[in-house]
Amino acid sequence: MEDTTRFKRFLKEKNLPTPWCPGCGNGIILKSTCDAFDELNLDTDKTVVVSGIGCSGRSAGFFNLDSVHTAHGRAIPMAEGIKIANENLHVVVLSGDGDLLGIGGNHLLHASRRNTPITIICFSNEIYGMTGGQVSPTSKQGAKTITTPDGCKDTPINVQALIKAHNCFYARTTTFHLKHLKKCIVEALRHPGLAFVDVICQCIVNNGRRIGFKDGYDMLMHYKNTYKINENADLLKEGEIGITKVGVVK
Amino acid sequence: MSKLLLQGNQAIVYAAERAGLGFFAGYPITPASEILLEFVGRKRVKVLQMEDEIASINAIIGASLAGRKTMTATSGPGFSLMQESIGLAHMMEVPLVIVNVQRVGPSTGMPTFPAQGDIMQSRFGSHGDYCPIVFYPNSVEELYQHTFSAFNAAEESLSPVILLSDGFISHIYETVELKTYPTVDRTRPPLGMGRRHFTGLTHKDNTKPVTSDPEVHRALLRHLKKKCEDVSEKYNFYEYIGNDTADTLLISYGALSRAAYKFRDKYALFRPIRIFPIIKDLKEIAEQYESVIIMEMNLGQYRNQVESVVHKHVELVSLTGGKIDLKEIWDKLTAIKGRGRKRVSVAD
Amino acid sequence: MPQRKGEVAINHRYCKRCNICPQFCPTNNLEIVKGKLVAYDRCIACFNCERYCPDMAIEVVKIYNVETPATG
Repeated sequence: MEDTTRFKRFLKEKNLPTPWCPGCGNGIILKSTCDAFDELNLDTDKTVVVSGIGCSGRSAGFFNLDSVHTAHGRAIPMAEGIKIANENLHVVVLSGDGDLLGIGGNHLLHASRRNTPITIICFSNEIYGMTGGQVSPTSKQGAKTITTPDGCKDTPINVQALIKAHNCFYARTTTFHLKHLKKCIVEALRHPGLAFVDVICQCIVNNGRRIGFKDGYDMLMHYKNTYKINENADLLKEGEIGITKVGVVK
Repeated sequence: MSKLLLQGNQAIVYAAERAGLGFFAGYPITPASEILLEFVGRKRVKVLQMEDEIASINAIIGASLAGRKTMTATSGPGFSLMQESIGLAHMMEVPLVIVNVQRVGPSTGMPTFPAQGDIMQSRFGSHGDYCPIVFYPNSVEELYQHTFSAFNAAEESLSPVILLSDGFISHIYETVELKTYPTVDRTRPPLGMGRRHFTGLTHKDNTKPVTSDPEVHRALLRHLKKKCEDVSEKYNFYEYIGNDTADTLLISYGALSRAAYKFRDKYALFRPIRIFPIIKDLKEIAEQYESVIIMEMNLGQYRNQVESVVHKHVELVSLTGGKIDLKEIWDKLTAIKGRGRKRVSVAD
Repeated sequence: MPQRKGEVAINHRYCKRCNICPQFCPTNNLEIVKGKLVAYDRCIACFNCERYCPDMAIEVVKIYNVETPATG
């Protein structure tokens, strides 16, 4: 029998259970990240996890690695500092869309410009979940949140364009497509420059249930029906997930 | 031993390199830009020009955790941006040095003029309670010396240490003897060599956040305060010029203290170099004099702090706008004398 | 013909009763009864529950084959 729990060596099991709501997708990403670490057999003495603030920010504390839980939005510059101070370390940033693209958006812009070799895994749940469900930079146009009861009027941030503009690694995936999720993280860890994995994940308690989903499963099924894998894209269209080719966008 | 004619900002760089600095991140700002510039091309130091001061301080926190001695340099506006992460560095117990070359504020103010407006910001800038160690030298030679002190205090206390300067001291040229002072090395293993969790949340032993136990938080605060106070005792730097004929003690620090030397015949002079935590000897010294006057380039930021130590009213001579004029100072000092012991301060 | 069977272990300390695994289970082997996740004996070791559990609370701990009598 194949051991499917080998990823647990990257987890501090005594810190479990996670503090997240029932049905939250963060745990799936946490698990897949450990799984990807295991597949690449990363050296635990040479891997560092950095996270920001928010629900996703708590993920760093569950890794059986040295981990840093930074101030809101500042995971990327801290990861850059760690990487540049010690180039032998694998530095992985795990944080949410509000943290990385909202308050920390400027740092992402400049880190991708500098192409610092760090791996960024973005928990993109289209909401500020920890504070109760406010509109976030990735909320879709028309999304109903507690701060946009009439529907969000702004366009969501086009993070793919931002990352691709600097010719960095960009992959989009969801928490439903587990194999794909793991593959994206593995490829991102292998990439020699800055790699950004945009993981669309469910927040049922503060987002999903307000926009008509019954539970976490319902949202996962929605991802299954909405997103199709496209492995040969230069740029992913809406409703597509995949790993984009690096070095094609001028 | 070689002697060099150095600008204040350059002296900081020379000292930092000799104190073992390994990583510098900064963002250009008048009047601290020369520090970033001076680092360019120095092979022993990794230099990063970041997109803003927030990124700078977070990058050096990261680099410090990764095992290097780190520093950033800025001025008032950038220092304000850094405040949140200074609190984070105290909470995560990260040694680093922040140089703040003060300029006239608030806001953009007068960028090329010196001021002492960041005294409270250095002590109380971040939210929550912490106890920072702050040095404020008054000459290029002292900037050189106390850059070593700042690095050593940071390493010993595992906390961010602030080195204050101002547009005046950082921009004058003086001869500096390039002495090598003893340095303190890092004892904590760098990132990767443990299974620790560094977090800004209340925590216990770098393992797991504990966010609902008041006792854990109280113990953490006690620990953070005590270690900084204990370490600061080793860096008890101040200058006291007693005067048997004087009945008044004149306190000043930084650039303005250089003007105070002119009045040493009429006043006893006290100049703290480690301005926070406040020098405890000050209480005893102040007791020898009938009255105490403090002279600052702000509206009295250090006065309240001094009053809380000497337990008596402290008169204020305030010089704002970046101007140091001996006649103006003398007029203000004599105006205080003239009014006797009334609780009136001379602010402009 | 041998039929693949499995057995799951539920860690009730981690389980948050989010109701994801019962709906992923193709044999309706899992169910939330009175606020507690329970497993029956219909597991076929497809690993869906283990893979999709966000809380690492459920694991397939045993896989074995049973001979089923040929029918029809």
